[in-house]
Amino acid sequence: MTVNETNQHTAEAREPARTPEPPTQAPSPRPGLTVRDALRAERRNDRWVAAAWAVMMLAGFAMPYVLAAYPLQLAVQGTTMGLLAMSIGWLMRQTGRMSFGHAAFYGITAYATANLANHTGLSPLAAVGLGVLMGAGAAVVVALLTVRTPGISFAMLTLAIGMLIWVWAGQTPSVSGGFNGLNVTFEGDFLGRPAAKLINPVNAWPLAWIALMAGMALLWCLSRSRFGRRLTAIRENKERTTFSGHRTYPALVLAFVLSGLMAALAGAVSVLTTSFVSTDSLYWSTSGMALIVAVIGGIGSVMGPPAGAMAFIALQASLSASSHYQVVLGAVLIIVVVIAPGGAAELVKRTARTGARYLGADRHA
Amino acid sequence: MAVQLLNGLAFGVLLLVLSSGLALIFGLRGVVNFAHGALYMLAAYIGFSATTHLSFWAALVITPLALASLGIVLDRYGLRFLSHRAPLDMVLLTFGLTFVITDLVETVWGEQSRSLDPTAALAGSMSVFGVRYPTYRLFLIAVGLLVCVALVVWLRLSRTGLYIRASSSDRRVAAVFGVDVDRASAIVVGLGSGLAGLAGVLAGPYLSLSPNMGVEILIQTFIVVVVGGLGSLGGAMIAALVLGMANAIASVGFPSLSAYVPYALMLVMLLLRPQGFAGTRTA
Repeated sequence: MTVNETNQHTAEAREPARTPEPPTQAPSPRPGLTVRDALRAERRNDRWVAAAWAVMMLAGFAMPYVLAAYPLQLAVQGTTMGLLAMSIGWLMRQTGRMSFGHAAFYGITAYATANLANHTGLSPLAAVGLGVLMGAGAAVVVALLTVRTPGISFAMLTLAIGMLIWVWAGQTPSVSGGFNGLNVTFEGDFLGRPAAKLINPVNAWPLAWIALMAGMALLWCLSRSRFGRRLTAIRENKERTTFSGHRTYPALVLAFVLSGLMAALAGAVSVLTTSFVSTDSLYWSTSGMALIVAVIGGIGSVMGPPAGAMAFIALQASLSASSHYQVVLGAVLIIVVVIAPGGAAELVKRTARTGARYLGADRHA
Repeated sequence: MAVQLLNGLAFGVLLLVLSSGLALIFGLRGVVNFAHGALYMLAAYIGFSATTHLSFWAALVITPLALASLGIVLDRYGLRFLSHRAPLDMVLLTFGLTFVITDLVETVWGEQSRSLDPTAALAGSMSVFGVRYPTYRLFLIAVGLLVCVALVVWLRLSRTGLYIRASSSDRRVAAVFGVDVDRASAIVVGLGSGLAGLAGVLAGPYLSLSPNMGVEILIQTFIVVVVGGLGSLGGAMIAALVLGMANAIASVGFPSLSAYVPYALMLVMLLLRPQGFAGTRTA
């Protein structure tokens, strides 16, 4: 007991700046509440989340019948940004590591797909597949180099690597189209439809929506798996997890690569739905903005970051005429951080929990 | 070559002034201040207005004072209440502040870039080491180095400096020994913002003014602080000069590779010596 306590103290003294406990954890222990009860309550909760996901998935397909072309275009943009935000937010929640380099995987996939489609005559599907592989491959390399470093150093390392790639792209116009960007001409079919027509949001929407919802489901299941719990343990106390006999390095690498894969997917959706890539997609602020919307939406839930991204795109579009969207965005960000740490998702979750308790449905938790 | 080295030194000194403020704030508040670039940009515009209405010398005094007051207000009514939050929250908060300040500047001064001519006394060029070099840049180098030496001497020798160094190395223990850590923090955030103000005014006639100037230099400043050792003033000072010089040498020797230099420097440093040049010593 004494040893345990000293351990805890030194660990806390060494890293005073831990991320707050994720809201996914079981609520505070009560007398008589066993781990099994807590897990059962969690599973019951999961059933509701899965149902909400399925409803959302189906409702999403109705969007082209509800929205006009321009709002639908914005919604497609929102899913792209949402995928990127989700990848960064998930990594942050599961490992406590803040990446400023995910724009690299996003941009590399977009550029690789664009160049393969323009120069090699590969079918769009093959080009996208290879592009995603290259983005994920880059994530493997970055992961092997960086995941050992904790905290701010990790953020700065990923920033450095991302910016090196940005500089390279800026200086290699034959690949990147320089600062004018690169237009893509897709020839052939993508999953049974002409890929060039995906620039029309009515055609693009189902693809973007499925990508987002599939990514969301994958990350959600991973968070709940044994692997997800191990990552949480590593985040909370890496040393102790090592003492318990778990290898931390491969788990962290895998988490980073999965997150990078999701960012690569976002890049693929982006290039397919816009037929355009620019070097801005590699700049650090692409990661930075995705991080911001993830936090506004709430990284405690996988649905938070995409919701934040959609809200951001809508806000940006509705304020673009007045050109004051920056001050509104800044104010929203400051207010969320000060008043509602955990973002919109945490607010929703808290409301739901209160509501459930009010209805008496949540007797155990 | 001498001209290139002087150019490197001038840019290095600008980074030096800017990053010493950032390093001080990180050391004491543990805040990675993303708004530092925006404060610098705001200062450049305030300096621009002060120069056109009064004079450059007045701007050189007024702007740092204005920014320092802003910093103290920011600490007293903002950072103090959030000091128990996770560092990430502070990153996002200062990110938000950046947007607000940028929008403010664009509204007041417009989005187009502007330039400022140095005063008559500093216009023209002088002969140093056998080459002609703009007087203003020499002035910038002299002022920046002077301010930083004064800062280090003050931190080393004064009682307040001692308190600041104590609070920076261990906030709780310093508080137990009777140091008013909140006052020390307010002084440091004020001082750091004031230094960003000074850098902004000095940058006016040297670089061109645009609402993007803050973001452009912010990353370089981060690199300096990380390479120097997070929170270390001395390390940041050395790193600023190294980065300035490395930029200058690369732009002569390998022009096509010069843009990679700052990022490569940070990458290599973090991989080989994550604690930076100086570790976490304050001064």
